[in-house]
Amino acid sequence: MSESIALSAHPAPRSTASASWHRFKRNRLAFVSLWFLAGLTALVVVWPLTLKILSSGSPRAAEFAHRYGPDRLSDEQFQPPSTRHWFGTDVHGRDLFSRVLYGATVSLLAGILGTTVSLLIGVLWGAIAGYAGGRLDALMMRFVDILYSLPSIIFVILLITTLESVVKNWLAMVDLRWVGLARFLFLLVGLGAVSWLTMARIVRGQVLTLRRRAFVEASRVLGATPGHILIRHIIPHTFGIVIVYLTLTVPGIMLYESFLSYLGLGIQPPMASWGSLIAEGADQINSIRTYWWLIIFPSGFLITTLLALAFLGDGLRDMWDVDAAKGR
Amino acid sequence: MYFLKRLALTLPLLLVISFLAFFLVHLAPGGPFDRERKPASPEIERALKAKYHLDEPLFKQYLRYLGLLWEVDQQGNWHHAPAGFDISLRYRNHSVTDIIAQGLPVSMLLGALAFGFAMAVGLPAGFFAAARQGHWEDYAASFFSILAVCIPGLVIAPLLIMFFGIKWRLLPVALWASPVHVILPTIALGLFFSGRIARLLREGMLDTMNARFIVTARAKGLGETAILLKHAFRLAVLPVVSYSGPLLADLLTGSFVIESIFQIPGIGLHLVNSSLNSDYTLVVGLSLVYAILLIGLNLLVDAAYVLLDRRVKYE
Repeated sequence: MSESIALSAHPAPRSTASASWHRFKRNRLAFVSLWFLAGLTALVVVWPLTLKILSSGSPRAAEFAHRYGPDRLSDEQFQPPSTRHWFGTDVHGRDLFSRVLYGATVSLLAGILGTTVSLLIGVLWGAIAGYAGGRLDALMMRFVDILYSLPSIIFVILLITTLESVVKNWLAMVDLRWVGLARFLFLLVGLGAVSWLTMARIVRGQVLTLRRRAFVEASRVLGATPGHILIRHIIPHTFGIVIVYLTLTVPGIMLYESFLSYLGLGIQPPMASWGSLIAEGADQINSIRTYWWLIIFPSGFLITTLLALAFLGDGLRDMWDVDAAKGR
Repeated sequence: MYFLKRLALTLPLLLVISFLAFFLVHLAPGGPFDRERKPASPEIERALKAKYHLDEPLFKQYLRYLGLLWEVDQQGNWHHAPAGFDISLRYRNHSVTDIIAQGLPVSMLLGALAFGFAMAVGLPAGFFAAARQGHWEDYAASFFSILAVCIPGLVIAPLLIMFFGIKWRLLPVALWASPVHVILPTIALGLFFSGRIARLLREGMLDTMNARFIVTARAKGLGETAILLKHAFRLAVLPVVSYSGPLLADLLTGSFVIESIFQIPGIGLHLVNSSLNSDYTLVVGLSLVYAILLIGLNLLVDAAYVLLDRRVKYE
């Protein structure tokens, strides 16, 4: 009885998760950004599907799908945006709206999968170094230092070309189509491989403080193996800071992907990513005529997505930053 | 003492880096002679490889690269094999030193200007955003900085050219000749980092403004300007200082995107092309330049920490 009175006198206590979610929702920009990213992802999935379904439909529908096919060449070169081609057309008369959406797939996938690769390496590396301590820690972290002082672009280029040559012949025997896909995968591996260094440092720092905490000691006393302690107790406790850092890594990797595609090392034509689309647009700049849509639309999408990710990151950090929330 | 120890560690570190870079480029497929006129016959290719000692075991090549190799000639005399680090395998009329000496000053000038631009824009933006926290100045500056962080060089450079170069004809479109040519590349390269710096400083300022010594300063009756400039800024700038070490190393060794868009003869182009061409010696040379800059600048950063924050001590 007395308990229910006490409860009704105070507002119902929230669980940590729901309180965090509430804090997150209060951040309007972060919330809108989340919706924007969700909408973009949906569009990226739905648009190719629509085209695919329509292409096998009635003649009119098939004509529609044909017109917006991202790889379909036509005579309508360099058309400015109109009701027929919403974002205009490029040098080969391909519809830019479709190309931007197909490019979004590549850019977003690169961002997400590249980040996953860097997350796996970085968290494991940092956690093992921090937990093992001593010689192994020193050795592993010196390795990180050395990789830091190598220009990352050289490392990426060498990694991609090496991986490619190793697997290419082997893949070509199986199926030629796999080569393009393999190249994209190597791009992801390369991107992840140069982006895990900071993550490893951050995780190691966290693990160093976690290692001495009572619940970890308790688990050790109870006879848990180091692997069990790492996976069950230590790594889950680094998630907060890792997720915040992830929202910084995704834009970083997307930028790197656009840079590599710009170099011609990334995605190969006729496939496109935002980076390669921007590069194509930049090539068409001249003093006689500017095809502004070729550069404005892909850049616009890239910048908006990066902005959304940045706002989302700020929101997530506030969400986990309990001290700051209390101070407010 | 601490710094002397760090300085002493630099040489082994550079050796390890050169070793790593050397082996990585050799591991990558293709050779320096792949992309030029096709060697007329396998014999010629073999002769080329023999001339540049590419047919030797890797470790011997590395020793030769460093100039630490002694060989026996037909008469049975030992003599020192000349060091191979200065011979560019791709541009065979030029030495690696030549190529770097030509490109590095250009890249360094552009990098230093971009760094100056980033600081000149980023520091005031971050400072005022923090000083006027919650007011419109804060929102404007914060929005500017987050926008700047989201616009990569390969987007802003074509846009700048399109508007300032072609549409309004105010500034030259490309090349590296007069001071006027410098403006667009500097902005294109520096804008991103000005956003980073503004965000770092704003955050640092907001953190320090809650510190006890700031409260004390306020209680003493110090003016707000004096508190912010003399006390808060000094500590808040520390994250910016530690960020500027790697940042400067990156900027001074050139940016491929900016240099290729604006046709600037810098070192950033070589950094990419040499590793695409498997120009072994140039890759290692450039990696070493980058590593030396990075290590040196990080030392400077740590030294600056001691000066700015007396609580920091190294042992």
